[in-house]
Amino acid sequence: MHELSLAESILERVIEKSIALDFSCVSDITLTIGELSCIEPDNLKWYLGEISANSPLACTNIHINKTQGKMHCNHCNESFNSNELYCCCPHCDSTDKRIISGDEMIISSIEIIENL
Amino acid sequence: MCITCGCHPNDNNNSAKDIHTKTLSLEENILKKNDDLANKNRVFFHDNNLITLNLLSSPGSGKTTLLEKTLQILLTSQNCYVIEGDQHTDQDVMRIRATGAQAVQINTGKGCHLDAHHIQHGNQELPIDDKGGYLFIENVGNLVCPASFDLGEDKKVVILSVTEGDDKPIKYPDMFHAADLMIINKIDLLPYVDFDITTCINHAHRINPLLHVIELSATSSAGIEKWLQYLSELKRNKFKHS
Repeated sequence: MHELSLAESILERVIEKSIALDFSCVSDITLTIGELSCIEPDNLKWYLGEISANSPLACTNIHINKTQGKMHCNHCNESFNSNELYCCCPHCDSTDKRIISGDEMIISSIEIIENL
Repeated sequence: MCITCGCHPNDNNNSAKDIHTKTLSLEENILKKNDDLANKNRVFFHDNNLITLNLLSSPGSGKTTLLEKTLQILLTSQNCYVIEGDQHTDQDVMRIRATGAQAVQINTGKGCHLDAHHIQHGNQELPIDDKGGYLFIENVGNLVCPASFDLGEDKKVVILSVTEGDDKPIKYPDMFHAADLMIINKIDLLPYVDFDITTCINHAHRINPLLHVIELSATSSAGIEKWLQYLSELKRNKFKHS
């Protein structure tokens, strides 16, 4: 359910940006969500659709790029891909690892429409 | 339909030459606003010599009982403050105030977690001065949502009771990955439940190899001294250069 709070943050930030830069409409928002983040992308998209219904983002398309989880093994120093936190290194079976990437939750870009 | 300009994806009122689109790169963390506020909270805690702990668990793990027991001991020598987070009621804050600690209740209504903005308000309501001490934040009982939100705390403490099952860490990995310390509570009930402490710790360490673990019973006080020692070391380490 925290996706609702995150959707509100996205909406607020994009509207702030549209007011600051004085443009009329946002046609697209592109998000980057890592597989190791705490977000269910489908839930986030649904909440964004619900809360933007009466906002300047009512007709905005939402795109979500998912990024794969990447980890570093602290035991053998190899890197490996995993979308699960509950995992061990495929090279040495150690559970001593840290996330390198794949836990991002980012507003990557917005596409704006300017009426000429 | 967009209420700002009245446009619609299928709108043909504007010819193609009248519409100009432009891509703006933002590359901003979705939680930027929360994280900025959390960093302000962190500076406030540091400036006021406070150790801050964010207590996280599912409902019924014994967070409030552990807090009561902790405060009864710590308050003999330390300033202690508490921010209580619940969806509804002030029942927990009444229990905490009965120990003598300064406490505020934050009701999140339909909200499932505390965020840094809630804590900023909590800080303003508490009579915090620079004499230092401990601030305990009892988060809303939920093993999912609070994991994502930095409050400015020094440590996240996840509390798991033996009545909940030893597979909780693998069911809710994000929380156990985010935590610094796992307290296994209600160990006095171990003879009556099917809970294997070694299995639980192995599961948790497979998710988070750096996770500290303390086993205790807030009711019987067994193991409580390890928790008090943890708190004492946190304070010593944070302010050793001050």
